[in-house]
Amino acid sequence: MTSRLSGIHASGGPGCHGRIDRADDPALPPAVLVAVHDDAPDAVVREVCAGAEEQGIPTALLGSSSVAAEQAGRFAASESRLEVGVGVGVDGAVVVRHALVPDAVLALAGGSSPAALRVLGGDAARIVAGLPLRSIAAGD
Amino acid sequence: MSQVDGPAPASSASLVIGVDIGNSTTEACIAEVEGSEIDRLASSLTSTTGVKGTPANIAGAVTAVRRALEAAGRPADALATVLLNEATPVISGLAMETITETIITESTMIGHNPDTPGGEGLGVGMTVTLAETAEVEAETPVVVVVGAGADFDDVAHALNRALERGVDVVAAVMHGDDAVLVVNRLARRIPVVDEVSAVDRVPLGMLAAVEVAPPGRTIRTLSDSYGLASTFDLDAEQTRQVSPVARALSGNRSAVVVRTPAGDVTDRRIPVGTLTLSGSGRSLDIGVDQGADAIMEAIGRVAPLNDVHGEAGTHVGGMLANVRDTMTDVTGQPASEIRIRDVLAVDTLVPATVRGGLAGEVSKENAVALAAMVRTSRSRMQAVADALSTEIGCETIIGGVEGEVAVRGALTTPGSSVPIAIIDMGGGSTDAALLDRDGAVSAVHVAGAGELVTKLIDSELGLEDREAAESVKRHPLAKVESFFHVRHEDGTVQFFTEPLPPHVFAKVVTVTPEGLAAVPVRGSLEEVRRVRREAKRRVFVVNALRALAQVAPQGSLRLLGSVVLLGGSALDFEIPGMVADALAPYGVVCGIGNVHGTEGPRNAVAAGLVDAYAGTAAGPAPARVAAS
Repeated sequence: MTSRLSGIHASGGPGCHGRIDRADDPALPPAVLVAVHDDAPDAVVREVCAGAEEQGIPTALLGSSSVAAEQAGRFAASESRLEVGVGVGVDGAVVVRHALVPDAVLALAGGSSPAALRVLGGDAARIVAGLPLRSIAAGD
Repeated sequence: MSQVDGPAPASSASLVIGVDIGNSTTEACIAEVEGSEIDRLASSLTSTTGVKGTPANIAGAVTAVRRALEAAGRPADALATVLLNEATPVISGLAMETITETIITESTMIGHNPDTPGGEGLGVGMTVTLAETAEVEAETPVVVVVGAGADFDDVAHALNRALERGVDVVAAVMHGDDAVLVVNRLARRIPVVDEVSAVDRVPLGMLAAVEVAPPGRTIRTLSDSYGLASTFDLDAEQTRQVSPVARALSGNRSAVVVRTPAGDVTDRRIPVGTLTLSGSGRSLDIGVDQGADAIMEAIGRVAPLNDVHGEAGTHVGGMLANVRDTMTDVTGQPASEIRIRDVLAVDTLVPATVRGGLAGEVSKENAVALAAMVRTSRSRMQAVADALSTEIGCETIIGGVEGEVAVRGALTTPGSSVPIAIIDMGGGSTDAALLDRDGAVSAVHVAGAGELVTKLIDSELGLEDREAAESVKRHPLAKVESFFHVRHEDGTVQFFTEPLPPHVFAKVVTVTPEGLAAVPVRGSLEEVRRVRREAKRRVFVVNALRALAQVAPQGSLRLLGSVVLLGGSALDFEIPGMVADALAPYGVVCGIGNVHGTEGPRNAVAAGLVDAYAGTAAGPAPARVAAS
């Protein structure tokens, strides 16, 4: 469960606790959970985790049987002790959810740019940190 | 709106409507007048169209009349007379000029304070590109400059390889938002400053220092003159030269300073010219860069002002010429005949992008905002009245002097008595009037009101969004602390059962009747609140005291007795309190007007016009006004 110091790790990185089997493991520090289907693209997971890592919030990967990002995100958020979860779908779509908020907080369709995915991962962390979300800063 | 019980109006009663065209709003009060009996039916409010006192006002006036008729349930043809205020021909103009600027030469300094710098500590070395790290000799201290598009894994890999070769990589400066990611992957923890948008302009082969403070701390070495001297081995004269760099960086969590042959950071005062203030007895020249206090003091010395000119060919000259041109456009008077009768100068700080900065650095520059008030000829109001007659199809009378009528309206506030002073806090000007025991009314208009407050808030917060600034002015602030609760500016917490939308999450918001609206600022709630209150204080409190001093007996506020606050800004949630606090030391009873006990601070002039009309028709004015 310790982070690896260097080298390319397609899913996660030093800011990620890596793949975990059960979210309620008491040894695991609180983390933004990223629920990932086995067939989800690694590059998407990498950018999402990097975004959160840059914000200084740990992530952990959770295996998911859901093909769609929406269900995976719902599962991740409900399992996360920080109440924030990210679902990555087989098509590369990403959904950020908060356990207490009925609707998805943020979502990106499959095939989104690495930069957009990075910002989205950062925003998942910013929900935990209580900072304004960047992906919708321009809107509103 | 007040409905008086009684029999249906007799045929001798006539339907009269008072219309008050203000700088921002046009108000109407409709009433049935029979002899001196007034039966007020309804009132209405709409935005003023065009500049007050110009024919463009007709559309707004017609809207106000129609709405009042509708509210009263009367047909338009029942209307006998429209009473129009003799809109005191006062129009105001606004201008703002920055009087300082910060310039960075030779890309000496990066002080933009990214949210997430990486690592911590101070690193001093030669600037090299990422590609050059492969060729640098071992033991050489280097600061690596990473260009756009580099992946964090590749950067970390390259830096680790250089470290393995014995190169002393002490720090890095990056284009992307990757500092934490890179530092997490390095064998040695070094300070990294990221999000430097113009990283390609960082001078290479120069000695540079990068400092990142731990979370919650600010840098200590690069923000200190002697810290810089020690870092770059400077002598006393050189230290004196770099001290502006240190000052510019103080308070930052991260910074980069590059030592170049002629690199410098300068604070320059922009020559903006002088104002020539012409009073009745003499005239004075005052440099705008001396700031608002000096300007206001000079205005006080030449009072009363006849006209103000700006030095030709300078910023301030252009600024006042603009005000005159605007007035010429709206009034049709030649610019040479337009006289600026009052000026309110306010010092302000404006965030401005630093010239020569590499990362969009912003520095707070001094600026002076000027509100100028112009008197125009009366003939334009007659044009408005004529057009209004044609449009509505009934007689239109231009009623009494605005100040007098407003005092009459204000006197209907329960608890008020003569002598009475009013402060009408509008959009363009702040007006004061005094009715003394002998029944004499004196009135003044001073430049600066709600519009100037909005402009100050807009520029000080760097919003560049008038709507957002208006919202900050009008509504209290709150901070959204979670998806389910906000903390209001007074500290109280409000819980919501429905989750708040993501676009307001963790934002500073204004609490409006329509819901929460995000304020597009990076600053804290306290900062926004301070800017808002200061803007209101520097315009309304300053102007209330300035205007009252001009109408008060012997210029002494102590002799005023009571002050009634009128106008749209009297409805503000904090301005009346701020003005009342400022007047408290003078033993003045100060409160918000409540015209006819029902209308609040609005409608004083419109209602006063009707009262004055009834008073004229029946002979004496209402008893309370006449009482001496």
